[in-house]
Amino acid sequence: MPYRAKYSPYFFISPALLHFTIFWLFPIIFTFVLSFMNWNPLSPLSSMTFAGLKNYEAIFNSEEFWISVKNTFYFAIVSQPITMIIGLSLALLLKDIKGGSIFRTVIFLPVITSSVGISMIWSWMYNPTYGIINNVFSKIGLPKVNWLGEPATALPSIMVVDIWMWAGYHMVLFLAGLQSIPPDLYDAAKVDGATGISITRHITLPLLKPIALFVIVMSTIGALQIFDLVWVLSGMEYAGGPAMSTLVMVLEMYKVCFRRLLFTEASAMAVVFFLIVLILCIIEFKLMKGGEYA
Amino acid sequence: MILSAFKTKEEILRIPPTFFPEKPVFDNFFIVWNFANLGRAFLNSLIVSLSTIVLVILSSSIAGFAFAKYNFKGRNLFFMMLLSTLILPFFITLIPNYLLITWFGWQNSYWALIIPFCVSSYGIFLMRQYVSTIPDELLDSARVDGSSEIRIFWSIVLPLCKPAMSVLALWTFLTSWNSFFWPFIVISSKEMYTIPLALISLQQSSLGQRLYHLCMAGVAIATIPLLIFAIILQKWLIKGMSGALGLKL
Repeated sequence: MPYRAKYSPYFFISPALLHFTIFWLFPIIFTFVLSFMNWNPLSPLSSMTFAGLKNYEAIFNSEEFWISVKNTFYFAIVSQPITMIIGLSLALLLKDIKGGSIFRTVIFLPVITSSVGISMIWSWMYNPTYGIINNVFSKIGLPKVNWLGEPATALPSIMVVDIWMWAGYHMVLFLAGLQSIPPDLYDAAKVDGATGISITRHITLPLLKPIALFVIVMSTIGALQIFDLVWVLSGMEYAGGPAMSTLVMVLEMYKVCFRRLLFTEASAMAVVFFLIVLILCIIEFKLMKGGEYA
Repeated sequence: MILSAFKTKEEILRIPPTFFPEKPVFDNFFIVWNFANLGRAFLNSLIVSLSTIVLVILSSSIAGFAFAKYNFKGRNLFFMMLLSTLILPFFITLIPNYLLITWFGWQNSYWALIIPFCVSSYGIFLMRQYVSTIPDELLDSARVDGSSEIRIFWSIVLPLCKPAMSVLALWTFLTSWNSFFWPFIVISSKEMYTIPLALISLQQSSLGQRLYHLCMAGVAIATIPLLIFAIILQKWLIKGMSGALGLKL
């Protein structure tokens, strides 16, 4: 290879490398470092002192921390499989239908719309007095519910919005996966006399396993970081919901860091949350892979 | 939602609520435009999004080019590290990134909104995928003719990547336009609000005064252009998403 080409690649990746180092590598390391330090963000960096496990102690003793972990877990573990199943079903239903592309567009739209806009609309719909949901309920004889105001219904209501938002994304990914299945397999199965449902069970689903794995892991990682929806749907400045029922991990971290200015404690939280995400993903990975019989 | 935007304040609070507005009122749109200073927010969002797009496309194409067409030491390692940025939760870098912003003096500025996002691993993967489909012979013949590597990139590779760049541009535009959390943290003054922040402040001020009609109008203004934009171009967007997975649609 010519002399020039030997050094060019380094030139070409230098912006990316620089950016990565400043905005990813350094921050990750610094988060870990901060979690073991004592530091008031209002005073200079030099005043930082080593604090050992003090920050971790503080958060493990905090009730809000454990509640936020519990809520976030509940949210991610329940809403993501549902979203995936809905997305998959939609993909299976819509892949061959004429005019299916219109449906696909409509279903995909929420993914493109701002999460802020969506949560504002839903907060309007969920309004106990003026919202459309309670209006419909009372017309058909069901009792009105204070969706976002009752501890029992607040988080599930937010889950519904999240599912609604992301089903389209899952659907698109599964559609792409479905298209990569060679049609010959279907023909061969039909020749052998297989019917629709049987085909789906024994050919389509197993072949979609890799995509499903990717989808569930990525969407779980995303769900564990939920903030926008919760912020708007739990009253913003008062976010955390009735009886802290919608306090999620990122929200708690935000409060500790930017409201109470406990940067080091928040860093410890970030580390712990990160480990939680990691463990959850490994578990999901093992679970999904375990079912493979190839 | 769209229909509600046309109702008057009185009507929107009526119980039981009506579906279609009785007497459509266009005022809401003008009121909320001024009330929430949406004009300024639009400008801010536009500046940030467009700048981000340009930078992302540039940085992603050259990096993608490097990954696709060269074999260099540390290539696989760096690639893996970039991959990890897509999987790692953002909050692990949040606090130090915020500190960086304050150390650079960028708080409450466009820089804070643009620079942390001007390089995208997703973009790099997308461009790498696309560039790898360009035949090597094309580049080699240019080298034989004495062209410099940069020239090869600029005059040969880049023009060929237009489809991928369009997809990347659209996707980057959307994620930048809709981003809320980061601007929420680094922006503190109303003049610098992006659209999501302006909407939030609208929602906030309406909590006490029940200005739902304004809220709906605001969301409609902010969302409808995006929806129209997206519907027309949805085919490209879906290509972009599956492109990064390596799937061809």
